[in-house]
Amino acid sequence: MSRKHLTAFKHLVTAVAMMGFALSSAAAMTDIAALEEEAKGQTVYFNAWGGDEKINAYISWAGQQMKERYDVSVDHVKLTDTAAAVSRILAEKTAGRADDGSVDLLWVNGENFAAMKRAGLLQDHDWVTSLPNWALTDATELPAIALDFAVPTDGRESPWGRAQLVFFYDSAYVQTPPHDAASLKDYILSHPGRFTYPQPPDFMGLSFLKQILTEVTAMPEALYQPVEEADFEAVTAPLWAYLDEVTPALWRRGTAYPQNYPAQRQLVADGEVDIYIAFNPADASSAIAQGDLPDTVRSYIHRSGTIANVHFLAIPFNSGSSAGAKLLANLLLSPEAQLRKADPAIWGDPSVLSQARLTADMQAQFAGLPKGVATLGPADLAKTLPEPHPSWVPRLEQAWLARYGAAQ
Amino acid sequence: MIRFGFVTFGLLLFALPLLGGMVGVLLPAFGYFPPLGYEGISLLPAALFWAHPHALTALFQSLYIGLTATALSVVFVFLCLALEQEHRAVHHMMKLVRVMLGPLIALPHSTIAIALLFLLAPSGWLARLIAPEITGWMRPPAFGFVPDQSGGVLILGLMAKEIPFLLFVALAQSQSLPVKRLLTLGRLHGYHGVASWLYLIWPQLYPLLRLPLFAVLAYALSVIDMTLILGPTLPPPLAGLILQGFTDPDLAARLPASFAAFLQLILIIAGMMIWVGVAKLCRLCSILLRHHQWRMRSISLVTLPPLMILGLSFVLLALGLIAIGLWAFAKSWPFSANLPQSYGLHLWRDSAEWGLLFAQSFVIAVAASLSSIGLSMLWLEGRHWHRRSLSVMTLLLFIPLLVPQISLLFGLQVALSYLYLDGKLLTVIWLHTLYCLPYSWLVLAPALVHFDRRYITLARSLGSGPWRCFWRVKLPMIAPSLASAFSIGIAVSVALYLPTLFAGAGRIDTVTTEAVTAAANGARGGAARAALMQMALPLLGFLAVSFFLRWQQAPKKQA
Repeated sequence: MSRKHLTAFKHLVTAVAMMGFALSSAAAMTDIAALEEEAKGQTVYFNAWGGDEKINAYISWAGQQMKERYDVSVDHVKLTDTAAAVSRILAEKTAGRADDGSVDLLWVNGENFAAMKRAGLLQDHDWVTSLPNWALTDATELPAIALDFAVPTDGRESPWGRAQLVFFYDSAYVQTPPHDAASLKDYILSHPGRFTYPQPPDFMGLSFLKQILTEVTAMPEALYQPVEEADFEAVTAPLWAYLDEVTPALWRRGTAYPQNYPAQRQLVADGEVDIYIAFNPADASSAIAQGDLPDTVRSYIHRSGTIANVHFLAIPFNSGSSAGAKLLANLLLSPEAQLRKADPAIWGDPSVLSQARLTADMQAQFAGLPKGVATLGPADLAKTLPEPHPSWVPRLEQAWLARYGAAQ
Repeated sequence: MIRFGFVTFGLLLFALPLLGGMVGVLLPAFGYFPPLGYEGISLLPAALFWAHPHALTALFQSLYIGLTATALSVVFVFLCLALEQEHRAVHHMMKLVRVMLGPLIALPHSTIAIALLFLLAPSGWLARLIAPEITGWMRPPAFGFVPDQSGGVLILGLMAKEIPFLLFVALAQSQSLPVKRLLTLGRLHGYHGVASWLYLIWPQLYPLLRLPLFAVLAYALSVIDMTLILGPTLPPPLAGLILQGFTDPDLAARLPASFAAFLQLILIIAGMMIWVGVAKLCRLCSILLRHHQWRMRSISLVTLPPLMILGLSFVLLALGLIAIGLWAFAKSWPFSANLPQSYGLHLWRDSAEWGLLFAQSFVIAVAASLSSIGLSMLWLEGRHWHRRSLSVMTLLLFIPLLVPQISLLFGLQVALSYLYLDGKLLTVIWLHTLYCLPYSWLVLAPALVHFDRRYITLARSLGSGPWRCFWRVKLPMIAPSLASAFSIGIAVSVALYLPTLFAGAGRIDTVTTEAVTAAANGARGGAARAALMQMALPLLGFLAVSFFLRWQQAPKKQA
């Protein structure tokens, strides 16, 4: 028991100390020194989706850096599904386990973040804006770093990378890819069996619904308010009309869907379908390099733009190594780490830093990054749509299930 | 008293996680979930669950798949046994089956699912073999057998796993029955072998199979790992809905999911009651047939087609397993090529990663298997068992197999994290031990209970101490049972998916969690690699045991 109390006391002291530092803006440097002192010898259990070898290798590079610089060990807990980690944290809260939780840092955004914030599963203070590298970001230039799916982050999560919904197609079968929801419909109807999307409640599947909804609805502005304030039926009616029309022409006539986007990518690799969707613009380039996709795969986005968001790092309320976790979040936000992450040969995930706030040398290095054969340039990705308010997601999911959730 | 305490302690050891799991799921199932602000008892979770548009379909799908797969498995097991002495073909097949039974039982559920996926998907090996030469397909066809919404492929997969297991239990148990004598008796009165089996042998054998059968039924009613790979997915069966609820970003989805987990338990009880009812009906029919003295002389013609289907299914399975091997070493294998165009070791390059996975699974499996054997031995040696208390104990040990794993998921997670036990290797081993126990008990109990104590008396009279008697006399005599308990324990442990998932807290992976994840992510190479390791582990155990037995039973030279 005494050990528990001691840790709790230590946390209290740190928390009070942190609040003090956050108040004085000039204290950023001392802040990091104190963090380094406290973090020494800690092990950070970094819970992050582990489905991509490139990302895993990048995280293990970050782990080595942490070991060398701060004597902090990073253990990458490879998740299949972020919700599994959220579930575990919730189980810990249910069991009253307020310290030494199993998760120290979590890769998260959108609905998961909103749910965790609501249920009090996160560190209950702003630890992000006092990170030294936060100064290199610009929330007016990229509002999404402080507004996660329309929910204010309040310094509960540190931005890590950017994502945008991108369509990938096999140019061996598709001559001119569709460029908006309407031409996509024409394509599906004229190529029966060659298009599909991941089955909701999968995250990518719901994102596809949101994309089409944003394009076809007559009231797009309603999507950025809580769903309770809108006429759900009226706003979404065009989406259901659209899906009613295309579903019989989907892969397996809409009686089966891939369970997630990597499964759909495999369908493209096998030639079962022509198009897949992912949130990482460099997804296909990495897959081609690894031999998982034919080198004829290319990418495009819709003319009106596609849904874009930022992904973050959050620390649960009961992390036993929060100092180490903060150091890791700060390291991952550093220009060096962000540059490495943006390199398509390493990962290809766009940076969240403001170019204007970087040194000229760094800016040049970012500009000089090669891009993969199937990756669009910044100019092609310029048009983005903000994520709808997260309250729309469960309603969309329910409505989709009711309409298309049974094969017969 | 000490002995009694020991048994109680042992029971507590595995009653505790079950109890924790049950409480942890029942409370939220009825509305008590303080961390989300639900503090009273209510029927809100039930209402939320029934609001799911396809809840009822999911429920019936589970029932249909579980009952059909188990019933078909039992019918095939019966036919194999009954026709062994009647048909040359069946006789030869059974000879082969007896040799292959060990490795067949050792195949994890998810490996079988991956094998079927690799074979039957629209871009699977079958389609590649017949395209484009026969069908003209340059691209995979727009139809395929996986994922399969009717549940047929899932049923096939479940049968491929359960038939060998039930056959193994039936063959072991039938040794205590005078099968040959009863068959001769039947033949003398002009009854076909199938009739003799149905009228004379099966009624005695079936009660001995009932418990393993219920375990099979409970598994099939709540199967999840195979479902994730083979379908149905639209909607998934009940277990799939539960898993979805527990992984939903919306935390309140845990409430209806907990209620569904409670329903899953009810569903298993209902399934067993239906089973018992139908079994009674079948028994009644067979009694009626016997009274009419139907000798079934021309039954062979009717029984051959189903056996051919069975044979074909196992050929399919074998092809699927070969496909796993091919994908694990294929460098490039575009659609419609019959075989990979080039082979390579790129999947195996990162030996630290898969080596750790393999070693971790190996350590867990060996430790769980050994400790389940140790516990069984202690219990069996610790007291002299009456027939009655023995069957009560067997029933108790089987409880973990009868309670759906998925229903314990969240509750166990809460209990383990309360005790700071989640994500520890020892916790995973402990949980695996619980699932290995009924099997090692099933194998060891007959050997130890029927052990002729006169050998010990003789050894004691020659001046050996009790320990020496145990080590030098008893152990060598029960070595075959110990060995098969060991290899079955390894197979059981390697196959466990959900218990590993929730006791491991994501920190401890085995080849099986890796295989299911990779297959569900459509990562064919990763799935093939993990599935190959899934096959290798139990096979290693099986081979080690065979060599050990050969060495142990070989005539030894006098030193």
